Amino acid sequence: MDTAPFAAPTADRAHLRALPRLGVGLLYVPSLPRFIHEHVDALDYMAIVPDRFWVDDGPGAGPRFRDFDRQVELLDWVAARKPIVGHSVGLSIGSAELFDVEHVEQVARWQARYGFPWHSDHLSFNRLPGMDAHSEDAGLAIPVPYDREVLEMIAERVRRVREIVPVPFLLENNVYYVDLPGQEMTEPEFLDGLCDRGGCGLLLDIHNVYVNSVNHGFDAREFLRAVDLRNVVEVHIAGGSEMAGMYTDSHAGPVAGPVWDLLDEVVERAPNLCGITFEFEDHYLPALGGHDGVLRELERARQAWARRPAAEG
Amino acid sequence: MSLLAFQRAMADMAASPAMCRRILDEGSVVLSGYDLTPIELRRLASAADQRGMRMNCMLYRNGRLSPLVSQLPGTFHLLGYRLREVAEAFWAENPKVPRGVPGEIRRFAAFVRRRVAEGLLDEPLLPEVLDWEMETYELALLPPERTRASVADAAARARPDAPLRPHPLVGVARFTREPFAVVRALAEKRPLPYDHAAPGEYHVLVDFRGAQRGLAPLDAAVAAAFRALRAGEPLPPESAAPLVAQGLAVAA
Repeated sequence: MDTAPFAAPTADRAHLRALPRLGVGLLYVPSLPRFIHEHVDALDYMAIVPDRFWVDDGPGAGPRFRDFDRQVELLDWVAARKPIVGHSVGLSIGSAELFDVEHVEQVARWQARYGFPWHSDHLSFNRLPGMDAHSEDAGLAIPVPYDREVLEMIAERVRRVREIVPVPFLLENNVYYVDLPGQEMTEPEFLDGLCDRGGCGLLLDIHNVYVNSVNHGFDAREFLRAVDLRNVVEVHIAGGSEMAGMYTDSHAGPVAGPVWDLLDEVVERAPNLCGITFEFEDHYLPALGGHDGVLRELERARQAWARRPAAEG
Repeated sequence: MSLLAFQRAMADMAASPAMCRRILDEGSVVLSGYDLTPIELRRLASAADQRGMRMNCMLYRNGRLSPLVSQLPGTFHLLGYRLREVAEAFWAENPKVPRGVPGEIRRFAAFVRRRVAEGLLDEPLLPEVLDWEMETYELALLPPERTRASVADAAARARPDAPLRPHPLVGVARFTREPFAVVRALAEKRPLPYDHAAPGEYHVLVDFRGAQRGLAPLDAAVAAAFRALRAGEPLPPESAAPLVAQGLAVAA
């Protein structure tokens, strides 16, 4: 692997330092309305996948984006009480020859509507250019190769996203099951280079790091020492499960035990951390122990949040 | 072009375990239709041989199935051992993933109805449970408070002898077995047959007008009138009267 340092301008991260330190949040899933109504004060913020609150009829449709009204009613109720953070799945920033400016503009409209202090998406591709105006959905999120050409392509797109949406933009590190040979950079090098070149922050999904470490046999703590934690604004924590001989990022129930230890380490070393978001897959609410189980995970996350150096004294 | 070709090949492999097996059996000639660099060819050949690609194939399938299963759980329970065959046939006919979950769910419902009509699926309860779940799903897409507010005035003005339209927050479904026994059995994931549910002609009201979603028995004549109204057929006042009285129709 070519490990030559990537020539990159140094970002001053002032835009990250200025963000509000929110605390502990929850990624909204459709099984949560009753929980939200009964326990909204257990949250410091709610993260949402905005793409799941609208129907996207694709380029050329007029209007292209239509609100999913039933869900929006709940969102309006929460937004009157707590900050909302946007975590999109629809940009597909890693897609070759496809950059969906209309999607970014829609995110900008929602940022203005709900006042997201920051917003994020995934460092992967899930769409491919189609034969017509509509892109094809790849059916799953596939990581990009950690090559310089890809980094340059994505960094340029990050800059465009930042021009359109006037709050910091974060990218989430991948979970990957396939190990591509001959990549030009390690994952921490790629993430650091992208933050420097594009000016984005990092949404560090700690469970993704843990999943990758289990499946590909590396030390997750080494990863955390290699990546520049000054770029981390938000972390995701979750649980997983075994499937077909691999450990998966299934968000199946409580946070995986080792993830709590990694979280404690990140909280102590990430000076720009603004939020810890707990994620679980919708149909695992019973496995989690229902609402009490969600509250337990949030309370444990709050203990981690209290470890921030800035929180001392 | 090369990165796009690489990504297209990766996506095609995740959607097709058979393609991965062919790459293993026949080598990278299987990828000759993609405009790939030597390093990309090497990466894809390596990927085809990794358990991680088998995982990607499973995730692709789970990703397409899970919104369908979560919205149509009873239908999937009744498909039972036919599920894999039906899913494979659906994906073969619809290889591209559409934008948005509602589109995929409606497309799947239409596919199942067609297979029922063609005699390829013969469980008698399947079409009626699918219809009930689709009726419920479509109503669940509507914003309850805004929809209620939007028809409040029209509901107050409804008269049997004036033009009417269906209340947007209600639907009807027909069952050939006692529906509440069927619904309970589905919720408990009890295996077929549901002989404990008495056969007959039943109609239910799927009701989203209140704070709680409701399911209530409905008179056959009222159900027929509601369907006729929804189909745009003219209703005589005596047929429209119970719809107005029960709040199932509002002024057009």
